[in-house]
Amino acid sequence: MATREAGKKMIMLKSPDGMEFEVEEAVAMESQTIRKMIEDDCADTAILIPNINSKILSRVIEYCNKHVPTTGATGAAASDTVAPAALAEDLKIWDAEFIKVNRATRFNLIQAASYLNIKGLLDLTSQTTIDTISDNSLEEIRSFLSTKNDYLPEEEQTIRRENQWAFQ
Amino acid sequence: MASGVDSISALPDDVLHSVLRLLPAEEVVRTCVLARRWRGVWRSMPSLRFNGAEGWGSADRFAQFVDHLLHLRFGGDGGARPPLDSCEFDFDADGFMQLPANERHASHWIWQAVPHVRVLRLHVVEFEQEPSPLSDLRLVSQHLTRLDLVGLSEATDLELSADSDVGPSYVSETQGIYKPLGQSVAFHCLKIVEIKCANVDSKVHRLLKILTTYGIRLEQIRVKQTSRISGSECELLLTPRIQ
Repeated sequence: MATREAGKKMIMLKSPDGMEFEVEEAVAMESQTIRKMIEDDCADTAILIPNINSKILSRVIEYCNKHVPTTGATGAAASDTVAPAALAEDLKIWDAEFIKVNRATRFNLIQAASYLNIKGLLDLTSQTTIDTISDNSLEEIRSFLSTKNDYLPEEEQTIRRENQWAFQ
Repeated sequence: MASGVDSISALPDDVLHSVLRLLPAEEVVRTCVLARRWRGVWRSMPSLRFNGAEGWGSADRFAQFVDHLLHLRFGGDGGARPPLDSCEFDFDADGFMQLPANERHASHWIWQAVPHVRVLRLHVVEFEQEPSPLSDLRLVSQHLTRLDLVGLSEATDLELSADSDVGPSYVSETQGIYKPLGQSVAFHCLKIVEIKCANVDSKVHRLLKILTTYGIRLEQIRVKQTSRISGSECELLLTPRIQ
């Protein structure tokens, strides 16, 4: 858990397309990957974030800003005074709005959440994706995952036969 | 790279795994028919989740599936592979455990999985039958670091046995039940035991007592109480007074 004193400290994140983001250290440390870099003293200047473009990185920072504990518009002590259940409910509603993005953005957010190791964001983006897999036809799933079937018909039959034990 | 990915198939295996970890195991395996990219993704899943026989038509079909998958992962060469990050059995929802035959299945699966996982999570309902399927559960593992018991309050006969590969050489002859008085050999990696239950009652206290008898220190045990009345979850952290 980040301390409130640490919350004052700012650090710089740099995306591959050259954009720089100045973020509170506590916010950046929502990412376990960045936390580790800071703790290992690798973060003296800017932290380079590969694979994640500025558009996605700014969304990730937006998420971390919202989810960092004991900060927010109402002051540092907000989470101590607001009932935890109400706070959780508020976050849930916010998350549901946040994840209303197109598929490509969601896949990029998954990649970012995975690389930066932000469990909450990974869970949110994964769950949204998983919801499209359950109870849908194969064609629908392929479409939701933007995945083209490149099996030859006979090839697909073979795969199905090999793995028959996993199908009803 | 910087322009990002437009299909999920472009993501590396470990990222796909972290998405798929939320799905029950059968649905993960079934992704093999999506496209060539997906053919073998399920084979290296670092976590497995079994949610019961719902959707399988019969409990037998489900049991065959679990047997097959566990054999692939843990049997033969599978035994030499790195341990799974987690394995979850949730038989709470669909009454799977009502039948004694299924209880035996579940007990066997857990027994198979234990030596090969870091985190084991069991959701188990209160059992009608005596003894409960966990009564002969032997927790033998050099990998297990966390054991979550969810909704469980009947594990009165939790037994540990020492595996010949794990313990000091003097226990290599015994495959029997190992009941250490001090530090448990089987549990030397186990860091956290979490018990989730509706109410902290005498059964939970009995379980705590058993766990501590096996050398699991009180500070390793967390009890999470889910109050059914308010619907909110409160965490009761049992902190040790004694070392």
